[in-house]
Amino acid sequence: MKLMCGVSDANTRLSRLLLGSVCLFMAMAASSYSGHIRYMSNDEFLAFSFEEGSPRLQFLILDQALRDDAEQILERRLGSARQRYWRDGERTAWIMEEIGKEYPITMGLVVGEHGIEHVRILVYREPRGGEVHERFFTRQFEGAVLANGNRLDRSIDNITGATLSVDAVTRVSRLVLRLHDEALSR
Amino acid sequence: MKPVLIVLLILPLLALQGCGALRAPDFEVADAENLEEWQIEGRLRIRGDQGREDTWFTFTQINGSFDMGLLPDAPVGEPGAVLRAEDMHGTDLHLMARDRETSELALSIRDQLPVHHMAYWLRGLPATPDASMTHDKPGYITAMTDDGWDIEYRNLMRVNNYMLPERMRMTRNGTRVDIDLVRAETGYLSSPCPRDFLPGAGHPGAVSDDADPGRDRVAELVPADGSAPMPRWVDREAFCAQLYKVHGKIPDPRVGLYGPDSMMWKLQAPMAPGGLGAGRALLLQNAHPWVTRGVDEHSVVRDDPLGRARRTFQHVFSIVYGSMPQVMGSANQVHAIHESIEGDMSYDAGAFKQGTEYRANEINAMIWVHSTLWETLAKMYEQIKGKLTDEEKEQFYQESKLFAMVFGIPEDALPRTWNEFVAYNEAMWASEQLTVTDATQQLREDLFRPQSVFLIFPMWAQRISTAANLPEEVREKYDINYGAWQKTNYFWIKNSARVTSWVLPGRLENNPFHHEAHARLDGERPGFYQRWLIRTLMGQERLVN
Repeated sequence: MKLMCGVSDANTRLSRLLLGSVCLFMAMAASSYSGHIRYMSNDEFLAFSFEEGSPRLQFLILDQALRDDAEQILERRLGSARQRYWRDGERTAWIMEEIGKEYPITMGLVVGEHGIEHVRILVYREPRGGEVHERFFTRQFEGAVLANGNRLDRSIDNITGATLSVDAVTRVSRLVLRLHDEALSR
Repeated sequence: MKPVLIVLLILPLLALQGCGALRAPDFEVADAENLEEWQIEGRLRIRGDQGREDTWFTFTQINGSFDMGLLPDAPVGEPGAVLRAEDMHGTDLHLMARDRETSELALSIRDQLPVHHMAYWLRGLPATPDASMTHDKPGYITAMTDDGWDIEYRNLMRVNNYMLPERMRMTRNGTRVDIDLVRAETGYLSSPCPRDFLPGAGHPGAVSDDADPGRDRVAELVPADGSAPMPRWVDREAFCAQLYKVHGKIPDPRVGLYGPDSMMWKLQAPMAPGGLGAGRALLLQNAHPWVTRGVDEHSVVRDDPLGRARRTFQHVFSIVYGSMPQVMGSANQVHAIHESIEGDMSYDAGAFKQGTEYRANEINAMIWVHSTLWETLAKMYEQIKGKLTDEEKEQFYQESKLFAMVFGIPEDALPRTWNEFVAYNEAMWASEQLTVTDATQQLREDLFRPQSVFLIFPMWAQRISTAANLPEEVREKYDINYGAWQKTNYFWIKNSARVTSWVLPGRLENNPFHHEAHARLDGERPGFYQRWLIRTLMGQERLVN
């Protein structure tokens, strides 16, 4: 658009009129545009998470005890029968979705020997609260491990206007740490 | 030459601009791995060494177990046989069949198909860790090899946030399976409430029946002294209790709240009455100061009125025409959105004083918004399509109560009959509860501003129709002129709509969601034209199929 609007040799009145129309119409069309944002694909996330290794797709079957724990952490009923993850040695990567307010947030988490290594928001679908994808927020989870009662060993700072999204990311982080322990122990 | 050239060059730009205003929003597919309860239905044909099988089927997963229902005779109805697995990762498969013939069909399918794997392949997911998959782009699978089967995904369909297979072919060792999927549900199969709702004590009978059937409900909603009614908030417990109550009233979840014999479908079907009445309903709603304040503080309607309208009508049509899981999905989404809409009045507005609290999930305000929809629809239907009898109006009103209830409004808070409903509307028009402030006037201007060159005429016609049909008291509050010019224009707009409605066949006159809902009841996909229209209007190909 910048190119079209900035063409310097458009010196005839007709050309200016037409270029002006194009810019105006495109601006008007763009103003009514909204939707989901993908920050990273699953493949990009896995490549980022396992730069040197070759992770293997695995499924963790959720038995009743694990499902009870997951329901307690997520504060909701859980109907899944399995949880997909990728593993390379003692490191695991999880791509999960959890509803913030209205739409699912897709997030990728990597867990290693010393707790959470990375949290990345892959897709954000809500119209508001997208700040949770910023590094200042996701950095808080790095190094986090589970403390008593499947809680994180630290408090996570809220973001004004994105409380539900913050809660969703925090819940999933706790769940992933619990699932990681289970995956390594099986 | 120059003017012709200008016109020729500008016309495509105008067309592009029109398309831009109705452009579909970005969509990033959600991961079907996270679908916790879902249902998909269609037809499968097997050709292999053991012969040929051809049957319609449904596949349902709830709480870690699944059912595969086989319907050899018709796409909808009771299944003739069911293959059930209590444990999705076990090997047991229980068979229930109504007769020997369907039992043999089920046994043949069980022997030829890896039914446990189907719980994943039907969502485009691997069943084993060794599967290899090919995607067009994230979430759009094209092929998979898993457990010795080659699976080709020939077409995908968007269902809510997911892309699920529409046509697939599976082959292995001389066996070929063609699967044609018609529709799917992606939630709210086991409960009408969200998954984070854990029923407490008092539930689901928390909403009491009418303790005093003789009380004056209109006077409660519109106090005679001009004050605002006592606020009544709808919390999650009360909301879910209402959903359970509605759920219990519906005999067939495929049909949804209403169905082909309902007055709701009859009045909602033709596009002209709802289309010409939209402005009236909106201005009546916005005259309630809480609505204007809520829009001011929480909505993007001013920046993106078309987008906001699209999302609103997605929910309205889903609730009117959808299956019960679709109705409950929309009801829960709307409730969740409303939960965050609250604040304080920053100015005096009629019956609502500065500093008082407002919330979107408040019963009296929701009753008003609900009333504007159905009172307007009935009025416009009578103008365009012809008079309704008293019995039809009564039936329509009683049906509309179900719509109110899925927003958490208790039935005993609503006017009892059509006549009471009319009295309530008239009392509201004259009351201080409807007050047009500067903010309301600004919102009116924003709402009627055309977003595209293609909308200049429709918006102008909408202004005329709104001026003609607003109650006089409310028209005066808005200071809208309704003189000879507007009357003349409304005369031909209304009569053009009547003639068009009379001339057009139902296929073109009725809204596409009406056709889509009928297709669902028949177990079919809607036609190409209806799907195109739905995609144009809603940005997605399916809404209530």
